[in-house]
Amino acid sequence: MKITHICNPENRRARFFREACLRLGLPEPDEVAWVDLLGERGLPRLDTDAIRIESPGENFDVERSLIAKGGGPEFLREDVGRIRHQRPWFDGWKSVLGELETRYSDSRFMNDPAEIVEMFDKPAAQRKLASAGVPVPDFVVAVESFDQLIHKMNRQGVRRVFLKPAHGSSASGVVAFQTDGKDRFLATTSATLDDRGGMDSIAIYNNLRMQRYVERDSIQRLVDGLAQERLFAERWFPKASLDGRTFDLRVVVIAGVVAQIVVRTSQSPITNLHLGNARGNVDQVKARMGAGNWARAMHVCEDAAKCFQGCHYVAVDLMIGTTFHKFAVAEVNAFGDLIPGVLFEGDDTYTAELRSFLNQ
Amino acid sequence: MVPAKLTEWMGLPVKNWKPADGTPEFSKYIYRIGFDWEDSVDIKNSLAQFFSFPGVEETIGLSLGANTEECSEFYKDAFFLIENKAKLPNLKALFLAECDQEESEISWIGQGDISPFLEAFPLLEDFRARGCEGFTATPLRHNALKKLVIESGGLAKSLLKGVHESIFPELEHLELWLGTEEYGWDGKAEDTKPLLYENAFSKLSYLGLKNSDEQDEIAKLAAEAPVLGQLKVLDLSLGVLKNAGGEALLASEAVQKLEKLDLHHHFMGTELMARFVKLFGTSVDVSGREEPDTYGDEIYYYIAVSE
Repeated sequence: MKITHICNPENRRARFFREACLRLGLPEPDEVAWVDLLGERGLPRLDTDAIRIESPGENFDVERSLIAKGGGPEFLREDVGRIRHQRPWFDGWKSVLGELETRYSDSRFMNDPAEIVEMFDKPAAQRKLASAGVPVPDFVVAVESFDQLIHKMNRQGVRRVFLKPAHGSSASGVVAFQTDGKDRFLATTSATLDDRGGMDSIAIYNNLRMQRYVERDSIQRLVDGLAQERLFAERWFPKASLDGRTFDLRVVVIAGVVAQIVVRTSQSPITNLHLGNARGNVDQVKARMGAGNWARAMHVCEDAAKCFQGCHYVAVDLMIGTTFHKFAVAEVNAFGDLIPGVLFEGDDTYTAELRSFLNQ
Repeated sequence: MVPAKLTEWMGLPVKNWKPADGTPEFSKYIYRIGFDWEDSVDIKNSLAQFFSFPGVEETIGLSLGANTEECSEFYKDAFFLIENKAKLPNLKALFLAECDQEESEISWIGQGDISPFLEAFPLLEDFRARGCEGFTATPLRHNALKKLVIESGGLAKSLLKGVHESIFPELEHLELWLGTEEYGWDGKAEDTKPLLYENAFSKLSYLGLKNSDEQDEIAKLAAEAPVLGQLKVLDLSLGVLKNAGGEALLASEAVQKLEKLDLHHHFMGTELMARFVKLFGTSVDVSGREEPDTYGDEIYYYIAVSE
């Protein structure tokens, strides 16, 4: 089988997939670099049986091209960690994936481009899960401004929410926010507010360190800044903890079945691994939950993956409630399989995805 | 992070309870009752229903979880227990606001005077409470209390004074988490001096003055404190303990006679840690060595639980 990998070839994700091909006795995949595909020459002719689409992330030239393609500024300078232009980025991403789907309609996609797009529209993906009966946190509001958020929270009697950029990746721009409904506020986030340039040039950066904001003014500026991109609020689902650390599960579902699992633990409300948090022990979580609850939790992940039938693999972030018997999907990820060293039946994610794809 | 939730207490398993769970088994479990937004369960409503079951008088222990999503008015709801004290004549163990950080930040949990709870439940042996704002203690006499634990990211010194001036003839275990100025600690290390130098509790064997920004100064005071003569355990953990405080403890003969010295979460050097281990062996806990955070030119030391 000839496989084409659309990826950033310099990225370790591309290397992991190359290694998976070799491990399974396949030749190295043909690689098409995002940066070329988004360049002037456009989509090349491909002689291939199957196409795997990999994350365009961690490459500024690619990011800039996607933003420009989506109607954002043509000439951007790199500004590491800055949260900006997420709407045009998403529009560009959506349009290039649409072109791939049309142009390569004769090939099999490991993951369907249209469904990848859906997963990058987080509120839409959450709605889709909810309508299929998959538990997700209650949707509170599409955030236009801090004042509107507060108004809405007060009207609904909600005191704690998670604010999530609709097109953000991992924890970037996510804010855990709470208020007493009066004059007290707390925002915990990896986003840093930079307003040194004055009110008209507020910049928000994603940071690797969690920060706490308690001043209403700062939180207002932060939320208003993030709301310039698409931002939505979900009710805060209190997560279980073990050994004094909060955790959730990253569960990779391959061909409808749960495969690799990572326990992501944290001392803050935001559990994403790249924020310096640690991996926990799956067996310990299983033991604490009991076999029945664990099986139900895994079913929730498989049900979530079922909502994206055209995807051979999906990564589900599953939150477990404080009493260990309730669950909610925080999000589904198209590129959540970057969990090196985590094995299922001896395979890492890349190998397992490919092995079962070849067997289909 | 605050300690994990109790799974066993007073020799019984601890279990969450809400009205949908049906008749409680009062003699088999200690129940934790709290707000649960997933089920839209209100804490006062839950408690009212709990009290309505025949046999509720058998309850020996009760833990209250979060009262709302953010717990800022916890104390008001907790008072409902006092209003219903006739339903709990055998209460020996009580925990106010046993919620972890994911449910409510400790700094947001609104507390109040602990003494009305002690007055309302004369058989109480083990009383624990968690929170920050509003903690105080009006001095009182309580003849049963053996263990008192106040976990906080920032206590008011008035609570220390109130506890010290109280008469607790049975008190064996006293643990006060002092916290940091940022979250409400309004005292100085010297405010712990009465507890160390004018001990009023003849049965006291465990003293914890911990989770403090001023752990170093407290350690220096504790090293020479007369109360050490009766203690088995000195707990100075979770705070900003550095080499100076550690040296003072090492130099004290009274400290060496303790069965247990708990210093975990500290900022002492590894050389000093090794000396502790050499001298104390397994009776010292110097685990959890922390490194201060630096931002630019500034160095920050932090206590284990503040937020």
